[in-house]
Amino acid sequence: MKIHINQQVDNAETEITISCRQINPEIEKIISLLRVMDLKLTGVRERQTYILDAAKILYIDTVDKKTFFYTKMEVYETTLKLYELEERLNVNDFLRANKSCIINFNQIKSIKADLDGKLLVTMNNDEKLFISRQYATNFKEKLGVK
Amino acid sequence: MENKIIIKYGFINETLIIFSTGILFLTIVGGLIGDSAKQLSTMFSLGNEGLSFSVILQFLAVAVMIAALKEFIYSQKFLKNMMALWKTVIFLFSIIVIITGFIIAFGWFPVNNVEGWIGFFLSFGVCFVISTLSMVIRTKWESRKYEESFERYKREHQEEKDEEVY
Repeated sequence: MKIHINQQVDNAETEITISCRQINPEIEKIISLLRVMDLKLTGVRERQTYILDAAKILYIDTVDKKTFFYTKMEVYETTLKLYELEERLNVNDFLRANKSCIINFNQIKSIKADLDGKLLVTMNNDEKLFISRQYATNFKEKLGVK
Repeated sequence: MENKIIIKYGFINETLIIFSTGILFLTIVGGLIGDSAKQLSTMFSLGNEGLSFSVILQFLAVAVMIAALKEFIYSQKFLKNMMALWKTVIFLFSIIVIITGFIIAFGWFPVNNVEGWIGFFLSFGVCFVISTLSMVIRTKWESRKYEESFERYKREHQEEKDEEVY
């Protein structure tokens, strides 16, 4: 794979062009990673690819080594790994809830304490998710209660 | 790294709480009935004088085992979709099994002593009810604190957004 960087002072916007014979999973992953930088997520649902604003995503989780993200009504699969998304979405109020889940803090409806230091959050679609004790500290810090 | 430290600290914290509560309870009981229970129980072999080193170490072992069990049962790894109530029932049952093992192995009281078993289940029941109640009250208090902080966060966040729009 060749990488060309064309640096010009008068470029108003950064533009990335990918030239390839055909789009393969590797290229798809590169595109997904680039979109995350723009706070957009590429997901597949019913064999169609969608581009969504990260702000609309409620949470992201992994099941059987596959990564899914959830909006209020739909579920999308992404080629990106959870840690890759976590690294990039951290600045946009996405916090790790447990080993297999990242939660969009701005899509939380309510937060309650649970047994043994865990937290129980209700998302805007009324789904309930657990925040393990290991990661509860980040949420408490965000709320200013630690 | 930080998370690993939190887990380890949590485990040590839990062990020390169980250990100190157990020793405190045993010291009070020993102070009251130590001399009369001297012949029956190895726990009160020193009578009203105090607790022997071996009993203290036995209680430390119980505390480590219960804390490890709690860590495992309430972890994400163990039946993660199980209701907290059922996890508590399993936890309770496992504690009884562990303590019964210690009673038999170290002769805390004679196995055929009915009064001993009644005393054990009574004291265990009282301790469990008190700790469960305190845990429920604490959880409710924390929930209220989080709800208030979350509402405040949402309000402040909304105000920031409104200012940006303005």
